[in-house]
Amino acid sequence: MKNVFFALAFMLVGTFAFANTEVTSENDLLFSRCCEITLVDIATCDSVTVTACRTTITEACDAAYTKAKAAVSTIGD
Amino acid sequence: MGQDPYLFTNKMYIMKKLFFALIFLPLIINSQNFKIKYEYEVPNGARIYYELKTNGEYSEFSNLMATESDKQNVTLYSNDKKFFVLKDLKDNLLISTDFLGRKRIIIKDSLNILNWQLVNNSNKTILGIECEMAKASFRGRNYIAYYNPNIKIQDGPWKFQGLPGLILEIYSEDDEYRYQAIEISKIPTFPVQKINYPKDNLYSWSSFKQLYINYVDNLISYFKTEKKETGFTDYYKINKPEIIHEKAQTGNGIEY
Repeated sequence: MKNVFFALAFMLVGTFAFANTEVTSENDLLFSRCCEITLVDIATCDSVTVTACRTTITEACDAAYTKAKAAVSTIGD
Repeated sequence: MGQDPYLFTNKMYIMKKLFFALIFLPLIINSQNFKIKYEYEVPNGARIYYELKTNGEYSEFSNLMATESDKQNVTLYSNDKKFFVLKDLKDNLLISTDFLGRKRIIIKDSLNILNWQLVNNSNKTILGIECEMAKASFRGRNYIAYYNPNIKIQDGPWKFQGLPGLILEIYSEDDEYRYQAIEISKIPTFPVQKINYPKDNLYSWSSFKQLYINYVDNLISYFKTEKKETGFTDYYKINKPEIIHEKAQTGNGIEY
């Protein structure tokens, strides 16, 4: 009886924990902010566009700009 | 009475001007040297102005200036190295520049890279000049061009050439890239640069293509290793008229 009780109790806790994780993940997506940065070469007009999504718009734009800058300033071999 | 020295000097000056005008005017009138200013439009809203100097056998295409896009998230940047496209129509030679990040690559192509299809009864007037239509596919895009058959110069902006007349407008059918002539003038002459690059510094189109694909793949691998576990998906897209890395150049670009 005791074992059955503990098993059911753990199952119940586990169910709530799982449900709780899902809610947090949905909230994250709901509050994500996306930023698109385009860097254009003034000689060729070729460009790179990086789109990054983060929890704040500042974080998203910082991430997008850093990657776009890296893409145009890396020296290719 | 002696001759007025001022009048004499003035006459000499006019005579001198007339002499040079008579010598050089026919050269200017009959010259096949043209300077064409093109406006280039791309999807991000930035515009670049280019100049094509051509004498019918040799031409130079280079950038003049760029204007900012109206879009807030679009920023211009400059490579330190010069961009140019040189065409030698006599030797069937096309030398162009491209960039891998900040590294400039000089590419040697032949001029037979476009297979034009002339279109009848689809004329258009550009800068007051009657132009005829032609179509071609070039490295992943379909283009529509307008050329003037009376200007017997088989040249045009960027890598475009090979029509029976000067190309004054050309755009991709997806409407993403467009060159439009905004000024055309005859010029007396211009110095022809000798196209003489050491073999080791020149890349063929296919070797450049492979280099470009590797460069983009390495960049994406680097982005993936750098990226912290944010739980979000980022995209990297290249906007370029020639389709080299299809995944990076279409849709939202590469997801990483």
